[in-house]
Amino acid sequence: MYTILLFFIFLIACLSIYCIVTKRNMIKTVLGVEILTASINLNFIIVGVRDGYVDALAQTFAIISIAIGACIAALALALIVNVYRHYGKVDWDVVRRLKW
Amino acid sequence: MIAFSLLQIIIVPIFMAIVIMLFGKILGQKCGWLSFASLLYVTCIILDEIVNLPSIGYSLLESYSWAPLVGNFTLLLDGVSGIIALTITLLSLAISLYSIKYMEHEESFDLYNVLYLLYYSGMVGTVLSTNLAIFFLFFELMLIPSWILIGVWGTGEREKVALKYFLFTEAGAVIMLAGIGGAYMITGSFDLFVIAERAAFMSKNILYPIAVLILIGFFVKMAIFPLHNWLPDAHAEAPTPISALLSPAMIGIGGYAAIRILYTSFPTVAFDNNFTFILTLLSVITMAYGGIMAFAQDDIKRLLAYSSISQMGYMLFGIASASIIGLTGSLIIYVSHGLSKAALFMISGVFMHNLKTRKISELGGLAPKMPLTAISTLVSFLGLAGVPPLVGFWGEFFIFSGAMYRSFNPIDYLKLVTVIVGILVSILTAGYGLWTVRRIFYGEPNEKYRDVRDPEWEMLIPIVAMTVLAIILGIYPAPLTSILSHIIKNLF
Amino acid sequence: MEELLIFGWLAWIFPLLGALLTPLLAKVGDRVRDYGAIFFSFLSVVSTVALASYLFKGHVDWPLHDSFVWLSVEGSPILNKINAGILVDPLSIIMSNVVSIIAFLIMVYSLGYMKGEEGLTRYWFFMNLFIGNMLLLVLSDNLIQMLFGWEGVGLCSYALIGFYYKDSREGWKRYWVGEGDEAYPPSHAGLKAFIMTRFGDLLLFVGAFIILTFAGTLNFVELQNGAISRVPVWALLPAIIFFFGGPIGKSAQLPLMEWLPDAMAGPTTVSALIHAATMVKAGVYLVARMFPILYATKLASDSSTLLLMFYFIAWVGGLTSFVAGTQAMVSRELKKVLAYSTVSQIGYMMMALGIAGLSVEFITGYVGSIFHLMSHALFKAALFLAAGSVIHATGSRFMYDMGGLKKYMPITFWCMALASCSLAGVPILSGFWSKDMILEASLSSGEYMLFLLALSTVIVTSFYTFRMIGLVFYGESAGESHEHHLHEAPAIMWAPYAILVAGTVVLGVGGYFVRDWLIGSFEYLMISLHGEYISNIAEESFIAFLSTMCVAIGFVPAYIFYIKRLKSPDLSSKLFSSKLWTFLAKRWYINKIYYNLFVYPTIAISGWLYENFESKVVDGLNYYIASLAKQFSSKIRRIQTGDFNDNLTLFLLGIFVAVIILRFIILGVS
Repeated sequence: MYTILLFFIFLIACLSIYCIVTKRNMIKTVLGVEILTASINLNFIIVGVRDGYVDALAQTFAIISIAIGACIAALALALIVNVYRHYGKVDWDVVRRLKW
Repeated sequence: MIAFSLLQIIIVPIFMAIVIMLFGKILGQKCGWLSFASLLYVTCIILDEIVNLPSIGYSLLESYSWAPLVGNFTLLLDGVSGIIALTITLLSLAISLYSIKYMEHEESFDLYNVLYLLYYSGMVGTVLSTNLAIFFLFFELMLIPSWILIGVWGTGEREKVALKYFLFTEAGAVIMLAGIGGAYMITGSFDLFVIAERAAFMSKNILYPIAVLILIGFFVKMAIFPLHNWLPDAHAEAPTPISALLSPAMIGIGGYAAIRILYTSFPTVAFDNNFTFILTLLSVITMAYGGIMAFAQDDIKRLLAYSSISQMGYMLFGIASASIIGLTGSLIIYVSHGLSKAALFMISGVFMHNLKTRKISELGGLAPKMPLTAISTLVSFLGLAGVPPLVGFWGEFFIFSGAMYRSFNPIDYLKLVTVIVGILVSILTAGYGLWTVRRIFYGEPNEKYRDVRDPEWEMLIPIVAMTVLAIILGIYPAPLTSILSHIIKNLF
Repeated sequence: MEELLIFGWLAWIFPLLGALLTPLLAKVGDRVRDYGAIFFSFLSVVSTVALASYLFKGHVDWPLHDSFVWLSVEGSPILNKINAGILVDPLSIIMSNVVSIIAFLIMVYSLGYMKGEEGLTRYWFFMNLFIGNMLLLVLSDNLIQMLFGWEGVGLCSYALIGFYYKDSREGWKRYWVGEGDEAYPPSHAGLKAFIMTRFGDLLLFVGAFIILTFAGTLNFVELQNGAISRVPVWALLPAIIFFFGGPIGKSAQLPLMEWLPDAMAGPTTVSALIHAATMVKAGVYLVARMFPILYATKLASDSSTLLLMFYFIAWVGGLTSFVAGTQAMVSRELKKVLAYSTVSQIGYMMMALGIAGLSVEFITGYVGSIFHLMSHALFKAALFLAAGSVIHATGSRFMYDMGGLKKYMPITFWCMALASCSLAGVPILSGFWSKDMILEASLSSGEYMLFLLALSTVIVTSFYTFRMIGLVFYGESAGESHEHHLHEAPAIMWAPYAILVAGTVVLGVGGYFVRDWLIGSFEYLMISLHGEYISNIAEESFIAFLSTMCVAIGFVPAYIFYIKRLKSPDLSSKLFSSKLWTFLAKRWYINKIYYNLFVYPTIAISGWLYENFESKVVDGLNYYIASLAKQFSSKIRRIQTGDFNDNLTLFLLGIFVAVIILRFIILGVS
C-alpha cells in the first residue's frame, strides 16, 4: 500500500510537470506549481508513516511546506495580476523578450 | 642593505600608480616624471642589491607568509633573476623617459602611466617570485595592463589586435595553469624548491606532461614557432614605447621562466636527450622562420617583431643545450636583445613621431641628417647579429658552443646537424639587419626629409644609452657572466 | 726579455684610442683631427718596431705571451676561464710590422687623396679603428680575442667600402663599381662584403666549436702545447674544414671571393689598406697560426686522413689563384684588375701553406707564404696607391678612359711599372723571390698538378699586369682626360708609394739573404716539428728559369697589344672567342649564380611564405579557431528560446540531474 501511494504521488507530480511545461496561460502554470507542491506535501506525509505511529518531523515539514506554498502562490498571482494590468493578457508570450 | 628591498621593488611602482591615478588630472603631463622617478628609485635598489650579491652567497631570499594553502610569498633575487630584473628595470626606466616625449600629443597620459607602472610590477614580480601561484598572479598582472595599453593607444586595428594578443596569451597562461595545477597535484606544493625536492623521485612519465603543459604557456609568451602568431600584430600595432617593452622585456620572461622552472623543479625532464633535441629543433625552426619573415616586411615595426621571434629562437636554443655555458648564453642573449631591440623600437618610434611614417620604402638616405640615430641603428642590428665587440657576440658564442658541446656528450648526430644548421641560419639576422640599415639610411636623400634632424634629447638619450651599454658589456662582460654563472652552476 | 711585451698591448690600444678621440679632435679643428689620426697610427708603428727588435736578438724562447683573465664562467667544462692576452712570435711580429708600417704610409697618403671629401671624421675614425682591430687580430693569443679583431676589421671594411653611401648616380664613374647589370653602388658593395665574410665566419664558428668541445680551450698556446690532441681525428677533419671557411671568406678565396672585386667601391686608400695589404691577409695569418698546431697533429696521428686538411687548403688556394687571374685578364676597371690580382696572390699564399703541410720540408712552403705575404703587401699597396693617383687625375675608374699617361705622370709610371714587375715575378725584385719559394715548395713536395697550376698562373699574372700598364700609360690619351689637367700627383701622395716601391726593390736585391734570414727566424718551428731544410741550388735555378720563361710568355702578347699597340687592343678581345671573353668577364658566372641562388630566392621565398603561409595558414588558423568558437556559441544559444515553458523545463531538468548527482555520486551508491 505504501508503494501504491508513492506511485500515485509520482503520477500527480508528472501530471503537474506536464501542466507547468506546456500551458500557455500563466494562471494555469501557477496551478500546476500548486499541484506539484501538493504532491510533495503528500510525499512528506506518506514518508512519515511508521508502524503504529507517525513521525512528527515529517508532518512538521508538510505543514511548513503548505504555508510556503501558499505564499508562493500568492506572490505569483500578484505578479500575474500586474502583468495583466500592463499587457491585457495572461499569455507567456507577452513577457518574452528573447526571440528565437 | 635595504629593508624589504625586494618587496619594495614590486610595491613602490604599484603605490606610485595609485598616486597617479588619484592625482592624475591635476598633474597632467608631469606624471611621466613621477613614474620615471619611481623607476629610478627601484633601479637604485636593484643595483645595490646586485652589487651586494657576491658577498651573501649570490642569493637573496625574502619570504612573507601569505595564504597557508598557497604557500609563502617568496621573492628570490639571485644572479639570474637579478640580471633579468635589472634589465627589465633599466629598459622600463629608459622607456618611461622616452614616453614622456613620444606621448606628448596623446590623451589620458596619466592612465597610461598607471598602466605602465602596473605592467612593470607584473614583469618584475614574475621574475622575482619562486612560488608558482604567485608567479601566475604576476603573469596575469603583466597581461592586463598591456592589453589595455595596446587597445587604447595603439595604431591600426588596435582593439582587434589587443584582443587577439590577450586571448592568445591568456590561452597559453591557462594551459600553464593546468600544468601548475598538475604540479600541485603530484607534489602538494606550489613552491619551486619544494616541488624540486619532491619531484626528484617521480618517474619521468608523470613529469613530462606537466612540464610540457607549463612550457607551452611559456612558448606562447616567447612566440616560438607554431605559437608565434600574436607577436607581429601586437608589436606592430602597440604604441611604440610599449612595443619597446613588450618585445625585449616581456617575451624574454618566458625564457627566464623556462630556465627557472624547468631546471629547478624538473631537472630530469630538462636533461633528457629527446626533450632537448625537440627543443633544439623547434628553436632552429623559429630562428629561421623569424629571420626569413623579416625580409618580406616593409613596415619597420613588423620587421622588428619578426626579428624578436628569431631572437627568442636563439634563447630557446641556449636553453635546449642543457649546459652551463648554454644557459649563460641564453641569458646574455636576453640582455643583449633587450638593449638592442629596445633601442631599435625607440628608433622606429622616432620615425613615426618625427617623420610620420613607418614604411621602409618611404624612408631613405637619412644618414647625413640623423647621424646618431644611424649609428645607433647600425650598432643595434649588429648586436642582434652577434658581432663583437657587442654583448650579443658573447650570447651567441656561448649558446652555440654550449649546444655543440651538448651534441657531442653524448654524441647525437641528428642534434649535431641541427646545431650546425642553427649556427648557419644566423646569417639571416645579419642580412635583414644590414639591409634595413641600408634601405633607411643610405642611398640618395629624399627631398621631403630635408628638415629632419636627430630626435630631441628625451628620445635620444635612452637610445644612445642602450647602445653604449651594449658596447661596454661586450668588451667587458665579466660582471655579467660571473653573476650568472655562479647561480647556473647550482642548477646542475 | 719580457719588458718589451707591453708594446704588444700598446700596438693596438693606440689606434683604438685614436679612433675614439677622433670625433673630439674634430671638434677642435680639421687639421688637428687629421694629424692626430696619423699620429696614433705612427705610435702603433713605434710599438711594432719595438717588438721587431726581438727578431734580431737571437735565441728567444718563442712564443712570448702575456695574459690576464677576461671573464669566467664558473663550473662549465668548456670555456671555464677566458683569458685576454697577446702572443709575440716571429709570425705575429712580421705581420704586425707589415700592417702598421703600410697603414701609416697609407694614412699619410690619405691626407692628400681624401682632401676635400665630406665625412672625413668618419673616415679617420674607421681607419684607426681598423688598424687597431687588425693589430688586435694579429697579436691575440686566443681565438676569441682574435675574433674581436676579425669581426672588427669586417665591420670597418663594411663601413669604409660604403663610405660614399650617398650612392649618387652622377659620381658613377668614380664611386660605383662594376658596369651593366653588375653595377653596384657603394652601400650595396659594403653589405655584400659583410654578408659574405660573415657567412665564412659562421663556418669558422662551427669548426671552432667542435675543437672547443674536445680541447676545452681556444688559446693558441694551449692548443699547441697539446690540447689539440684531445680532439679525435674523425671530428678534427670536418672541424678544420669548417674552420677554414673563415679564412676563405675573409681572404676572398673560392667560393667566397666575389666580395673583393666589388669592394673596390670604397676609396682607393681603403682598397689599398684593407683589401690589399692587411685584412685579406688575415685569413692567411690564421691558417699560418694554426699551421704548427695542425702539423703537429698530423705527425702525431698516423692516419692519412689529416692530410686531407692540407690538400683542401692547397687546392682551394691553387684554384683560386688561377680563376682570379683569368678574371683579371679581361677586366675593364683599373682597381678591379688589382683586386683580382690580390685574390690570385693570396691563393698562392694559401696554396703554399697547404703544400707545406704535405711534406717534411714544410719550412719552404711556410716561409714562402709569409715572405710572399710581406712582399705582396708592399707592391700591392704601392700599386693601389699609384692607381689612386691615376684615378684622381683622370676622374674615372675605367681603363678605357685612361691611356698615354706616361708623359704626364712619370713618377707614378715608374713606381707602378716596378711594382708590376715585382707582381709578375720579374727577377731581382721581391715578388720573384717569394713566388719562387712557393714554386719550389710545390715542386719538392711532389704536387705536380699544383705546380703546373701555379706556373700557368704566373703566365696569366704576367699578362694582365702588363696589359694594365699598357692600357693606362701607353697609347693615346682617351677623350675624357682633356677635361682634367693631367699632372703628376702631389708629393704627399707619391711619396708613400715611392717608399713602398723602394722597399720592394730593396727586398728584391737582397732577396737571397732575406730568405735565409726568414728561414732562420723560424728555426724554432723546425726544431719542434722535426722539419728540415735542404737547399738545392740546382732545383732553385731550374725553377727560376721556368718562372722567368712564364713571365716572358705572358709579357709578349701584352707587349704587342697594349704597350706597343702594334695591333689594336680591341682586337685582343676577339683573340679569345667572344664566349670565352664573356665567361671571364662575367666572373665565371659565379657572381650571377650567387645572386640567383641566394639573394633573390631568399627575398622571393620570404615574400611568398609571408603571403601564403603566415597570413593565410597560420593567421588563418587563428581566425578559424575564433570562428569555431563563434559558431559553437551561436548553436548553443538556441537552448535559450525565451519561451517561459522551455525555461521551466530546463529548470526542472536541472534539479533532477542535481538530485541524481547528489544521491548517487556524492553520497555513494548503496
